[in-house]
Amino acid sequence: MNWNHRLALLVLCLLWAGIASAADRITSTTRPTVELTLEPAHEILKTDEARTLYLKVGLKGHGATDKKRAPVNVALVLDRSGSMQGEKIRHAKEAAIMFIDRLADEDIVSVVTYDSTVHVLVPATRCTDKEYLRQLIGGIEAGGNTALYGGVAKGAAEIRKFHSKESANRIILLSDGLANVGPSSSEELATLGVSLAKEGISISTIGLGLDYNEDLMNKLAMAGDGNPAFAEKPSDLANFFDRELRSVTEIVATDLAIKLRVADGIRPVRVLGDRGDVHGQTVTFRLNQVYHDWENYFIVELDVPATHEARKEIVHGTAQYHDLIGRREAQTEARAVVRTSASVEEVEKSRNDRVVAAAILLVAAERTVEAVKLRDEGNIEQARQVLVKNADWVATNAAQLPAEFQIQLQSVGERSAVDAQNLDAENYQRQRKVMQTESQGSLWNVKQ
Amino acid sequence: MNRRLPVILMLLVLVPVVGLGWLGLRLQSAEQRVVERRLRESLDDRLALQRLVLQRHLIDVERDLARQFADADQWSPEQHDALRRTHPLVVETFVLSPGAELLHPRLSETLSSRERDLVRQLNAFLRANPMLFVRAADEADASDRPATQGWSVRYDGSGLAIFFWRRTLTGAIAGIEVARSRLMADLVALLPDTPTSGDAEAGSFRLVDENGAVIYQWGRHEPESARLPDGQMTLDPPFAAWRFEYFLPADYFAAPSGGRLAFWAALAAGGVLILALAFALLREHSREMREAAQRVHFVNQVSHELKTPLTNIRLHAELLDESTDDSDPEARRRLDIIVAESQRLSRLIDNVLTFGREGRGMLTLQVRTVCLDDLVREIVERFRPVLRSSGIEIETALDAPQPVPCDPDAVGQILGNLIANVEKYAADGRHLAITTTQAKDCIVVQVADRGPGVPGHARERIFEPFCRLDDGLTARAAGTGIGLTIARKLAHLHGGSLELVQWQNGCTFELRLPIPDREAMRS
Repeated sequence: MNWNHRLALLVLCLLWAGIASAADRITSTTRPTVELTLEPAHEILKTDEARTLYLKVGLKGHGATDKKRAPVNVALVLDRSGSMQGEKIRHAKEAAIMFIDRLADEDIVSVVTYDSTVHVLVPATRCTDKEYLRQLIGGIEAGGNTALYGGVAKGAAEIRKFHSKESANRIILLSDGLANVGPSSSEELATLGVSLAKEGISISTIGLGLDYNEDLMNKLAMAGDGNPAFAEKPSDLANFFDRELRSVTEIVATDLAIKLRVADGIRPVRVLGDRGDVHGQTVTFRLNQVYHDWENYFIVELDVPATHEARKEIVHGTAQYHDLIGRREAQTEARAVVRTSASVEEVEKSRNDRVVAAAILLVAAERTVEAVKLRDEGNIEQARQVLVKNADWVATNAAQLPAEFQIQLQSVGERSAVDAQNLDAENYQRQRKVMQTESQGSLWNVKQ
Repeated sequence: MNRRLPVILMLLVLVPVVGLGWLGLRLQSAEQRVVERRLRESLDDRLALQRLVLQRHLIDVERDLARQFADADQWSPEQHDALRRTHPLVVETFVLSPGAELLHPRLSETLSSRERDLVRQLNAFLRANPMLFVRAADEADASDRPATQGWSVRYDGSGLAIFFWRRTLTGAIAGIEVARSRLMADLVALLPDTPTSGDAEAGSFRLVDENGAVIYQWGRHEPESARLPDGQMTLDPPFAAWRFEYFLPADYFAAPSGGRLAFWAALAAGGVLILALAFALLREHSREMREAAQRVHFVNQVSHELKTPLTNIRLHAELLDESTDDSDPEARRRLDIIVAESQRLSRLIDNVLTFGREGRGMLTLQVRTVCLDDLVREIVERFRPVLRSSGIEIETALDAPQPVPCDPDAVGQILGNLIANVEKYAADGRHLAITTTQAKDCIVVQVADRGPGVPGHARERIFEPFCRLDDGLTARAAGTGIGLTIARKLAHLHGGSLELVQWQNGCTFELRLPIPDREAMRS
């Protein structure tokens, strides 16, 4: 073989390598970590008829397996005030130990306990010496006031020590009472939550018993898309910590920015639950994280004018996010398309039951929040009426849906009816926690 | 005398103990004050360090924000949005033109509640910082421009509204409304935590906001709710509305109780020791006193025992003396000696007994009305043989015939002692003169000799008990040294006196016995 031949062979080899790797790269991106879906409630609209159309914007995560998941950076912030003495602190310690036991070596954990003062029991550290961590947690004793703000501030400081874009950063806050040392209003805590969320630190809250401030805890959680939880009995704590563990270890993407460009002529009215911003033809949302195999969604209300276009793209959506599995910035997009038809049956058949069910759920949740506001102002009768009407409305609208959705929505309607019956002074303290946590959980798609 | 000693001893015990105790307490409290001062200084130092840490953080934040906002007036709304979404401290961004028009955010037709809040805050900001904005006409004067960046901290009725602003290159003011609770949380993150084990801070420290409410606290101590802080330290401006406060538990400055206990124990031990010594001294003293008393008692007993046989001897000697004539001069002489010696012995015993009685306070006079001249004559007669054998010439001049009240035995003892002294010490003068005179209110008896006299410095000493002036060369007779003591005491008992009026070239003793009023005598 002369030199020309060798050169040709070399070039061919390089070319093959290039094609192969390109092919490899193409085939390896089988599925994006985050899947964006845009689903209108009706895919077919009646010709020349204006209507309100709900659009579901869904984000679902993929890619986490038992062997491959993003490392977590968790701060457990535990209340050890006097009211936690006895069963409560015992169960809390057990739940915390169980939580840590199931973390991996690369995960980073810190434990902060607080009563009138704050103690960084375990400064941020890798989970390698679990026995030592168990001992430290076992030694927690309760007694004193509730410096919740200080606890969260110190917990956030611990997270920041190993703060990384490549890990899921979360504070898990447990409290059974009212914050009374340090800033204690829900606005101040919510501001702190929002500010931490900007750094990708989310807060999940677990309120234990009937004496904690659910507005404060829920707002704190929702500011960063964390999970607010209401644990009525100390023995429930283990379940909630378990849920948190699953939640935080199944985060596949963080820092999501979703933008919808709505076609001219169509007016975006609002985002249900007030979870997004409408600026002219653009709707923007932010989401702190998406979980593996769990869909987080928003519902946008659109005003669609009468049209006779056979096919129309109504919305073009893009989602930018940080992929924790692939460890890179990524982007995905989707489009929503509707068709028109003169046939009413076709319009009916094109109904997307899932979207309708989701819309009903969110509207019911909005109404529950409104009822709570009325009841807080003292308008018990008005609040009751809102809830009763809500129960009826849910029942009526669920009736047109297939059985599987009816079952889910049935419990929503029943809950509303139960809420209506428990607005009296004796029951409201507990019921309010149930109503707020569940409605806000629905609106913010808290992972179950 | 027995009273004084316990008093002295008690003082001896109390004074050092009390003195030491007082000194010790003074020292302790002085030490305490020093310790307190040092602890306070150390506390203040530590707080100052914390404050420095917080100040440095605030400076870092300021620098970061200033850098970000250098060209903020050129930003698009999306860039503002991006900063608002990503910067943890930013609640809202704003840009004001040099003429105080709001360039960003562009407000919608109907203000949302958030926008209304912002407008309100910005109005307040403008009112608080008028010097930042100049009218269009004055823009040209660049040298007059005030500071280029800073914080604006204002009390908003419910809390602090915190703004950061920066003047851009074009003169616009760009800034942010700061998330107060996030800024506070970042400060809290820098402050110490409180371990539950022993090495936590013993006091209670807190960072307190503009309303006096606690932002964060650390330290083991839990002060009562109404208590005022033991000290405080504000942050530097513009955050001087926030301050540190500290509370110290009551025993923060206390010396370890062991030290105090040791001090009191040592003092008590010392006191007990001194008390023991005092008691030992007292016991020793009373033992000695008892022994002395025993000795005195013994002597008195002996004297009493001696008196009875002596009285017998004298009685029989004197009887024999009366019944013996001068036919046997040798016998006479021997009898004279027996009488004289037994009289002397008698005197000695009387002196001792009198002295003993005087010491026990039991000396009394048996007063009778007596003619003193007769008494003197009698005594002189008694001493005549002895004096004659010593070669002493006797001269008397008696002029006190009036009977006066006195104790004749006592006066006899006085005169007897005086004459005996002359015989013992002034025999060389070979002369004894006794004169009696009677003045209006007293009788004066003088006993004079021509012996060696008495040195001037010893004039009073000779009256003290047990004192004998011993001129070694001429020391002759044995003496007890109590003769003059007794004599003076007996004179004083009469209300009179015994003085040495002439002491050179011979002694003259003068005895004065007062004569009471005739009226009193009669009654």
